[in-house]
Amino acid sequence: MTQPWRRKSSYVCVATASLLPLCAASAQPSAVVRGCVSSATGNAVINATVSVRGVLLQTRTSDIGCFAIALPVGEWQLVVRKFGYRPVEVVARSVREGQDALAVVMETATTELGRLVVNGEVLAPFTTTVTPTALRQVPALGERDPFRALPFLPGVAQPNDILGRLHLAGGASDEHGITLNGHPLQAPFHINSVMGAFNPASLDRVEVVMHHLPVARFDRVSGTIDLHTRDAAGSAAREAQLTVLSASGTVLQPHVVGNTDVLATGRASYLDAVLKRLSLDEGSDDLRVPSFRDALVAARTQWSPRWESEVLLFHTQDWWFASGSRDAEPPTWGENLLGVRVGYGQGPWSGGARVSVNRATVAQRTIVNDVETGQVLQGGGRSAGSASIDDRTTSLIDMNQRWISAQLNAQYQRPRWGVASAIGVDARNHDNSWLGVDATERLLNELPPAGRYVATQLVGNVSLEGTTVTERRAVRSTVGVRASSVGGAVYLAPRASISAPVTSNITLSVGLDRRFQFDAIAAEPIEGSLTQPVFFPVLPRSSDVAAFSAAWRPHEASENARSQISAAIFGKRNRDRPVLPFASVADNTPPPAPPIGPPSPWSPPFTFVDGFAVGATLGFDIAFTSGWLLQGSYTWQRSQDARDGVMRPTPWDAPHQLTGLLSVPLGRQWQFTVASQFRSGPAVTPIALTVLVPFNQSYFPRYIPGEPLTARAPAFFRADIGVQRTWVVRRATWVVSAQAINALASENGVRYSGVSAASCSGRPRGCANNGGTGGLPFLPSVGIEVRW
Amino acid sequence: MKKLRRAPVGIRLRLAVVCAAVAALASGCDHSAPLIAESEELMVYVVLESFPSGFVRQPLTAVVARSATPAVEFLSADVFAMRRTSDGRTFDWRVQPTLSIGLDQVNGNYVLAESLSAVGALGRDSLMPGARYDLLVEVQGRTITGSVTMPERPALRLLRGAALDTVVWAPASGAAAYFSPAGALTTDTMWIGDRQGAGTRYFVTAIDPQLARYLRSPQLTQSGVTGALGLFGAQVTVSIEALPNSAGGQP
Repeated sequence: MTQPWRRKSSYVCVATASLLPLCAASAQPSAVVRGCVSSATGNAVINATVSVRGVLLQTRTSDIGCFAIALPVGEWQLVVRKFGYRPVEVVARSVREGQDALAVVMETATTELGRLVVNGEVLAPFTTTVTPTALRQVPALGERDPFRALPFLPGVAQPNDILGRLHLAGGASDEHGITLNGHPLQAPFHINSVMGAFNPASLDRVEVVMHHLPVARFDRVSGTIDLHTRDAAGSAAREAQLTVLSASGTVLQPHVVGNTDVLATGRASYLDAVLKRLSLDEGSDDLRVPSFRDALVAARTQWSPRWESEVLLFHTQDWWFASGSRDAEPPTWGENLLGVRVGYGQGPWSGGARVSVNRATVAQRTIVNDVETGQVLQGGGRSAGSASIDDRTTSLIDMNQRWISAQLNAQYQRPRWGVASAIGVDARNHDNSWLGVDATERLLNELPPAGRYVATQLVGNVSLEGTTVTERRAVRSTVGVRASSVGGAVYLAPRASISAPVTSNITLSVGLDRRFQFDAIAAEPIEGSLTQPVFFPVLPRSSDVAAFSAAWRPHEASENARSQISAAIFGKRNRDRPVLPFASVADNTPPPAPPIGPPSPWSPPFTFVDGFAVGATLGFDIAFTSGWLLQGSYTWQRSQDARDGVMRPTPWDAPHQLTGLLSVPLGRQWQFTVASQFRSGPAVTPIALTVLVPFNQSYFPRYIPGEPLTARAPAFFRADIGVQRTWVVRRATWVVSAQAINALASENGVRYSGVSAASCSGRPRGCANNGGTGGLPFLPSVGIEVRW
Repeated sequence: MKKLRRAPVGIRLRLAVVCAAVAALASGCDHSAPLIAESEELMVYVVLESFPSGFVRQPLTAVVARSATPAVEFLSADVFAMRRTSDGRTFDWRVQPTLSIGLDQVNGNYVLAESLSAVGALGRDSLMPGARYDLLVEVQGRTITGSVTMPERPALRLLRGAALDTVVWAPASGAAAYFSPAGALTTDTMWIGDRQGAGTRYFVTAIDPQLARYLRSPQLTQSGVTGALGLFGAQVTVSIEALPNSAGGQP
């Protein structure tokens, strides 16, 4: 355990001093360069990025496809980019008078559309972007899900096959943030965290930032996953999808009222209701299937060329049907977000404000669960006569996690330098209580049978970042610091990055970060768990991150093919990671247990450990205009913590991960895709000894754990295939898709441990599923969508 | 002497990259412990039970086995003897090789006769609360011994409220814990639950210290026996029945 790094004001001085020389270069005369961007068919290309090669300046095209950018007098090279189009470079002359507007024509690039990974541009090093077009291509687990596609990215791992949670760059699953248009989210997952709660039709892109975090972003030691909604500016668009699980619809409508554009999307499951009805008709009430719904509304208003605002509503809700008991309310959980953003831009100045109000809840009430048998379990579980109550089946969950977040930011940008600052506050209030064995199994096994956690946390933060780009080689460097204040202590997080184009298509980047995180879940969730109760440890965890990346785009100018290769090396020194003591007993230890009392105040008995994560990633993809796409990634990473005086792997430590995605056009608008994932098994605790426990007039095995995390679960392999056909009928695009998840029916264990191995020992193939620890089975599904 | 020529820089660089890659890959292939460690510890489990008469009960079984992790291998003992300490009389434990052994549940390979045998060996109905018993097992050249005292019977009282039933019992001599009517392991001597209909029977089990310690300590591998892993414990169960329209019950 180390002491927090407090009041290191020298870093502020260094950061500030590093910016001072930049101020000398701002006194050049400038003029406004204007232009309009259109497609080859003559339509305006909206929201395209117009950047200036060699300097920091960039802008976006408006809803009529035009832009204006102030540049120092001289000749400049503009680069116009937009997903789905080939980048265009044009020369612009910035002169004081008599300047004509540029006319830029962009050609559609089919090679861009299907790519899962779009590496960050020079202006956003270490950022990886996933496009929704690519999401539509990856075989879906019933629903198309951004979180299911991200493990194909280098450095992103998903060790548990049926848990949608991710691990970025060797970090724990609670060490990255998830934001929606900049607003923080808590647990946007459906079906017991199996899949994400976002309809890809509503998303413009998903950005993954893990190796270098700009100081204004949410401080998370492993990075952030930032989801951005589609922009309704331009023309109206509508989509509808029907899958085996749900039906959804999306509408983008510009100028609904004045200059207000609206995006609205909604999704609701229906299979649950159908199965429930069938089950009831048969007199059975055993069939329980998940129900979920989510909705998102974003209204963006352009008040003037300088001012714009956005109001965003996001809602997600999951529930299980009632078991039929009068005294039972099944679990429900979800999250609601109200977010407001205001933006301002005028010349070199820009800024904005954001307010996010978020609430995540979980509720369950089961008073009597044994009414079906009417038997009381007592004295070691004997059946004894007529109806009574088994109060151990009582299960209550009442979780309420509120999060109000606000931030003000301002930027001043000159061609070769810029300064950005932000000030924000995050106020969180958690009132979580749970009671009963079933409740802890739904939340987290490491929780006590009854507990209540009521806590408030207030985190204030100030950040300052300076950026400069050299004239000669366009080397871009940033230096910044983020200061966070919690409970009177101040934590300084300095960060720096350098990005240098070595050639026109090779870029090298280096990032150095210190990051802090002020919350934690009690342990890694297992499959089937609900929204996790989040705690505020007495010490924040921190991570010092160093990363080096290289991106090479060998076919930047080719008309027939595009390819890119990226590589990264990272090292993280983690401090004060909160962990619970190792379990002294395997998780299948039979009852009896002590009686459960009412929820009493409980905080996790965290110990704070130091550790490290190192890794190297390699990603490549090549796409042809003919429709072929081959993409792959390899990640090597190790993550270890010093526990009990020994450096041990973390439970998510899986050294090797290999992914591949091949998409092949079959002709007549048919497309075939195969996606595969291979990775090492994670570290697990072996079983050292089997003894017996008397219970219910029999003896049950009690597994005594061995040295923690010294064994490794079997490796994972899964191959998914999908095929889809596209028609265009009366200006509507129809897409029918069929996919098979785990097409080879590989038996991948999840939550694999000595216990599951012991339970399976001697059993025939198929044990993993029979033992309740199996991953995804062979799972076919179909879907249809229409866009118009 | 011939001077060795150094390889060009490009080749050395490539070799260094290859070596670094191999080293990185090798570090991912670390040596891991097996998921299940091998062990061959001897184990003996005997839990004596006294149960109210008139109720259906399973045979009282014991286990003599080897912890061949993850499975359990039954062993046949050369000697399996249990005596009542007060008078030295032996009990009629018999080998039951037909009893099942499974991965999730083990029924035992020794069973205690229900009653006095023809040769005078005591049966299950001779197990008396408050009495002390000695165990001697010899298997594979090892001698395993143990002693246990059965707890006294707890005296139950049932208080019938309008909405709640309360079962109260006095601490039983020799008991370190109890199974409440809800089946929970507790040191309390009272249990409250919703009022049940007439005829409902509440059970409470008194548990001796050796069994209580074994149940409470998930890492404990031995309690009440010496010479092997295992357990020699005892428990005594009593019950009380809720009477119609009354404020109490009867045993």
